[in-house]
Amino acid sequence: MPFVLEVDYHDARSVLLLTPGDRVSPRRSRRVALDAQGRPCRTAWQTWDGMAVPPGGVAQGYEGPAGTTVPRAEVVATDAAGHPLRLLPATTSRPQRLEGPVPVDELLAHVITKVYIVTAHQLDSALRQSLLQGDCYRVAFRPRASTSAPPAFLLANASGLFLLQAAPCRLEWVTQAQVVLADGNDDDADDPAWEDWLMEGTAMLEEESS
Amino acid sequence: MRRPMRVPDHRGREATCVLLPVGMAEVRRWQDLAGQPVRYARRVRATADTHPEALYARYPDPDALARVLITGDPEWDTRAVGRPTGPCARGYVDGDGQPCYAPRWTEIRYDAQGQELARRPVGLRYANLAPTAPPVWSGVLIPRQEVIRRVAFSRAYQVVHQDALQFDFLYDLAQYLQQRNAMVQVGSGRQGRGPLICERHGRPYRGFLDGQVQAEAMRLVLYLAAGELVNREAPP
Repeated sequence: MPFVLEVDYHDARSVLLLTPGDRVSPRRSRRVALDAQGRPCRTAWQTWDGMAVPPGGVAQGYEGPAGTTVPRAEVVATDAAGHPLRLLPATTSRPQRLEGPVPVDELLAHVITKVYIVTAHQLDSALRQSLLQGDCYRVAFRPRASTSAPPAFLLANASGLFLLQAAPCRLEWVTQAQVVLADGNDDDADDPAWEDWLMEGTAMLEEESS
Repeated sequence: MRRPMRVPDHRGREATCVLLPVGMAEVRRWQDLAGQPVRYARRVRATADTHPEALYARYPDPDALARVLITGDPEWDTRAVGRPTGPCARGYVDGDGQPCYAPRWTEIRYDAQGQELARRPVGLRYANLAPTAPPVWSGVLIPRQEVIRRVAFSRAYQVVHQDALQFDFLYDLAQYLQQRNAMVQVGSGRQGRGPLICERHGRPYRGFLDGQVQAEAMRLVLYLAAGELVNREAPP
């Protein structure tokens, strides 16, 4: 479902229609794992002792210190110090202030979790000019109420306008004394740190790699 | 997961460094209404033998399945149900819900309407971060201001050293990139521009290295982009 985002830039309002980027067009090719009968396999989990757990075979929930289940409605999110976090309202129903132009380093201190293709229903001319010159703006964007406030970045290229939902990441300066050793080359292990996002161009990369 | 990666540089040298996943900066914890800490848990509910699909395959007759469910409890494995899953590896189950240890990888092509056009077998897609042949410096330098408008970086790894010589190597590379205010494309293949694959059968990515130095410290980051910022519906 497309979202509507209203932004204020220098006292002028713009109305943007956001469409999730991964739903624009279907991928034209797909790699699938087939079993001996030619039926598609499904991804499963394999526990450390070799037990195969099929999709739907895992129960997920919250547990207290004694191992008792805590209902989701009774779970409160807190920060690292244990202070409960305030539930922030969704940003789609009220105008948001654009901040920027922001430096490139600010966007590069984030990873992109979602891309929205922007259709400008009403776009301020000064903002349009700035975006076409390569500027990037930060705006608060929460499609629904949430305890976290990850930023989103508005930018443009020759193809159009885009809103990138981002999550901050922890980049650090490294000195010679900070030596890190590799865990080994376990190619089969997925990296649990990332929830990947799919969009245009993925199919092309798949073709290049096959 | 700290993976090794062979990193080439502008002087034709290369080193096997370590990729450190850059964690999300936000730290979240949970507690219950009484203030007691609460943790997220995953527990086994059904195994490949007790899952409904496996039971349907084993007892195709619904009446027989109903009888055996009442008398034998085949859906209930007391040794497995409720056990914490712990860290898991990726596996596959076949059409009957049984573990499939050697699936055949096939590429299925579709037309614009999503109808299947053709199938062709494809080989294993290996991870290529640390290839046996030395990686090639692509020489493709893209201004940082431009690259953020071309692709969206969905993964970031900090490239770190395992010894002092590697630190010097990475510091030089970071300084080279900072002086040009550009990112360099890194990848596989003879030109060093092919996709990077982090894990076997994993998704291919375009890789870009970004470097900064500050006094005696450096920051070299490998950004991976799964897709490009393209609006196919935009008017030409």
